[in-house]
Amino acid sequence: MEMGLLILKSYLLFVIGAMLLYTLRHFLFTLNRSFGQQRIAYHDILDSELPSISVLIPMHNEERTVTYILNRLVSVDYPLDRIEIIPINDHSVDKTGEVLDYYAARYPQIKPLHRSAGERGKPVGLNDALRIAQGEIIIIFDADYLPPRGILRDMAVCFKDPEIGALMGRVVPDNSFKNLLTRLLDLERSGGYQVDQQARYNLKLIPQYGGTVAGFRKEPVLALGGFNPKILAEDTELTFKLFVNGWKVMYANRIECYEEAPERWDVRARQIRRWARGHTQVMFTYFLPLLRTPHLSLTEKIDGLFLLFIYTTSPILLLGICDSLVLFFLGEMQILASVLVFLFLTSLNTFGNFAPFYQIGMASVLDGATNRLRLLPFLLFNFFINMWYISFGFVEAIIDLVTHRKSVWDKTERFRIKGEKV
Amino acid sequence: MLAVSACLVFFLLLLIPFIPGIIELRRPRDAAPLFIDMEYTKDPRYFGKSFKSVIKNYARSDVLHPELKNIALSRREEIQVSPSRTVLAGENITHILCISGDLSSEEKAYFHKEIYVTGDVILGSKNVVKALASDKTILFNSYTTVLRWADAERSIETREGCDLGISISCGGEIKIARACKFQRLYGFPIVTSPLNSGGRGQSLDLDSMTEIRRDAAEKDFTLPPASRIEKDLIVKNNLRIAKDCVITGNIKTYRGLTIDERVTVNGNIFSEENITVGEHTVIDGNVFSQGRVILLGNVQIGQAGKVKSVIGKSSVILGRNVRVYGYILTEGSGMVW
Amino acid sequence: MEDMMLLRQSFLQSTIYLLDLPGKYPSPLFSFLFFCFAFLSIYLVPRIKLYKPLGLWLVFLSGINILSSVLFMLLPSMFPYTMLKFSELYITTEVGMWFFVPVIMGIALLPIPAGIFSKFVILFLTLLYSMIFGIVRYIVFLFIIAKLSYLFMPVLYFSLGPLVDFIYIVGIYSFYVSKVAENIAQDCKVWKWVF
Repeated sequence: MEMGLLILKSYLLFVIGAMLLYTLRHFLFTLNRSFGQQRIAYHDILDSELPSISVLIPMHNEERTVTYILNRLVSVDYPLDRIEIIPINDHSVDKTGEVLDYYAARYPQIKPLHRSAGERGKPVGLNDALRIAQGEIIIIFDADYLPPRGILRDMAVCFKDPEIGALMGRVVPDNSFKNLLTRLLDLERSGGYQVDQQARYNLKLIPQYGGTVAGFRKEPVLALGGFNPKILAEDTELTFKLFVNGWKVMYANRIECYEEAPERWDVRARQIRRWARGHTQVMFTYFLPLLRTPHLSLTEKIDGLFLLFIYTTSPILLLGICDSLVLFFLGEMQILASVLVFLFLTSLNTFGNFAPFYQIGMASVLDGATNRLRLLPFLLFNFFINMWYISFGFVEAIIDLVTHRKSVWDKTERFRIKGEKV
Repeated sequence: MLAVSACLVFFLLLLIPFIPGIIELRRPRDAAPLFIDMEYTKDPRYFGKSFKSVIKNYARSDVLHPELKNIALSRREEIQVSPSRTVLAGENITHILCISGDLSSEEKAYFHKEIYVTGDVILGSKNVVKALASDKTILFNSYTTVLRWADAERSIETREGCDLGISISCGGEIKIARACKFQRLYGFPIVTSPLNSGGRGQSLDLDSMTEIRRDAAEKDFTLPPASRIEKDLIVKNNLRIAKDCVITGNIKTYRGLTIDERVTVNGNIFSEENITVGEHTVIDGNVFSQGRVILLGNVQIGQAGKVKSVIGKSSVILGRNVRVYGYILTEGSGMVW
Repeated sequence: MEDMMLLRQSFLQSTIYLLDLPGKYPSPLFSFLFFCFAFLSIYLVPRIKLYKPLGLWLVFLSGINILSSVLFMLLPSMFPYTMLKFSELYITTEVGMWFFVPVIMGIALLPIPAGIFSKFVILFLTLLYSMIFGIVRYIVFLFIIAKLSYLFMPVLYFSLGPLVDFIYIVGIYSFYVSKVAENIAQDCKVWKWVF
């Protein structure tokens, strides 16, 4: 009994310690973004000699969104002789394939890859496309994205730095006005990119390659084996794969692109569950390589660990709440009362997904936002959803590891109405 | 009674923090997505092109007529269209000027609004001009100040001590004299004067610039003189490239980079700290620093027919007879020594 | 509430005041019925069309209620709290909250581009709100537990306890920062380095 109590109390202290560390980390990032030296990205470089690029767009049943993104890409400002666009039609059963063939007939730079055999999924599709892509630099957009005209120049020029293996731009929801969920996701995105990613770039830590509005060098990625088809979070996997092998990921805050945020809570729940599962798979795969690599400094490794373990905060916190419940029923909360307060207060860290409320607040100020800040208390809703479904995803990843089962790719549902003006 | 009131108050206190958010949800005032200009693509000559296009669209013609009296920009502005003109010393021009011909001015003229000139422009010394677009050439005499931008289709030349505002761009050569300040330059090429007017071959006093790290750290790397390298160089400390080296590849340093004289680099250069490029060095690539870039005398960046960039976040300092084919940008201060 | 007593107790080299009043154990039947209700909630909530976050919160509350009702059905004597003990737990939690709220608010406000005086005012107002909120909540909790039984103590503490203090902290912060943002929106000097 005594031993049991000791374990329970120790776990509570551990949870508080973990939450406190993440809170400190986010606070440092917010301070850096407000007062620290800002590192600029390379998109201001004007260079007439641009690299050849292949733009990959993974698609599965994207008839609602395909015309929007292709119309944007055929009018981008990039030399036609140095660009190819490869939409990856991945086992679609709707009209996606027909639409792609229609565009391919009219625009020679569009070269669809139709996949109807083999495994389905973003990593596998990307691997197939990488084998046929001609460009030195690969740029990825998800099918619901709306690239601005100058974005490809801005992205391609960043690879002039020989150390940059991958690049991440900023994602902005274009449907933020739809409902409470989209408005909350817009706030979260703002915090995550405007403050968190930029601070990690400023401090030369581990900015994350996010898999869309993103690019990477083709040859090193192919040499490192491409994307692991067993891992759902191919973006996080590539981030760590590159970092442990001596490459860097750059974050460019001013390279912005619109995306479509989930408009229903069940869609959001599935999305966050998939992210948690995939990210946890990466955690198991790259924990030791991260510690062992000679290419990263101590601070980079520490930040890498924070990033790897970030999806563990929700299950840790959930268990912590259960733990404190047990202690409550055992009447052992007395001396821990203030400590419990600290638990709850440091779980502010997860109050707004992975950008705490003060980070989102700072980001919104930087974005010139005003009244939308008043929605911050509603992030409480995200807190429950995130804690629950991230914990699910975490458990699923553990089951994946133990049973070696295959992950099935679950695409995020789209909401754009066909023909809707964007 | 107390308890019931307490319950009501409690739920009210729980609800109050949500009220501003509920109001914003019901009557959204800040729900629009963050603005992204979907048609934006980088054009260093954007200001001039845009302004000329506004003028011509408003006039509905490429020819400007004297009858045009006012124009709607961000607000209604008075505009004067006239043929070639000379602005007198000390004159204050408070309206937009459109000159169908050449424009010249005597000293200390002040142009409070934008100017569009279809011919050549010669501004006298100590003039102040808000913004200027010319279809031919521009000459800024000494100590002229540009508040915003200037753009010429052909060439731009400055005399000493000019403050060149936010952006100077042209389709041809930009010649800048000593002691001029700038933020953005775009020209083919951008050249600094071959000789300082203040003295013969006055060299830049690097020791007086305290931010430059001149003390070598233990793990600094030095490339010996006359080395030949054909690969990318990534150095996690300071790097010094001694004279007469030839590097075919890109260079990246985590700290400072010093390039001695007569080095050739066929590639791009990136540094997290300051970059100093020695005399007679040629770099066929971009130069990018999170700190300061100093290009000493007779440095060449890029070559004819290509656009390359020199970007120094905190400052860019140009020595004499420097030649940059393309673009120079700093978030801080740019100066010609 | 007529048998309520105000007691003094030392805490952290100071004195805290606790209310003590008679508590009430639920009857086994009541515990059983409540158990069934909680169990049914957990079963039904995922199956009906309900706002997802609200549904999750109800499942969370129902889980706590199940634990509580099982304890009172099977081992009511093992329940470790009296009203006094609960008061002690609650007040010590609140005191801790009153220490940490200014710290959290101070941390949150530090990066915001606003004057130090206004930040101190907001900090003070948040602390005041916390104190009033804490005291009112205390009265409400005691009332509910005294009237309805100890069975509701866990769910009250874990659903409307320290966890919901976030709401007013974030609410006050967000309102203040939105006002600051409105003020600085027009000031070009503030935006000089934003990339």
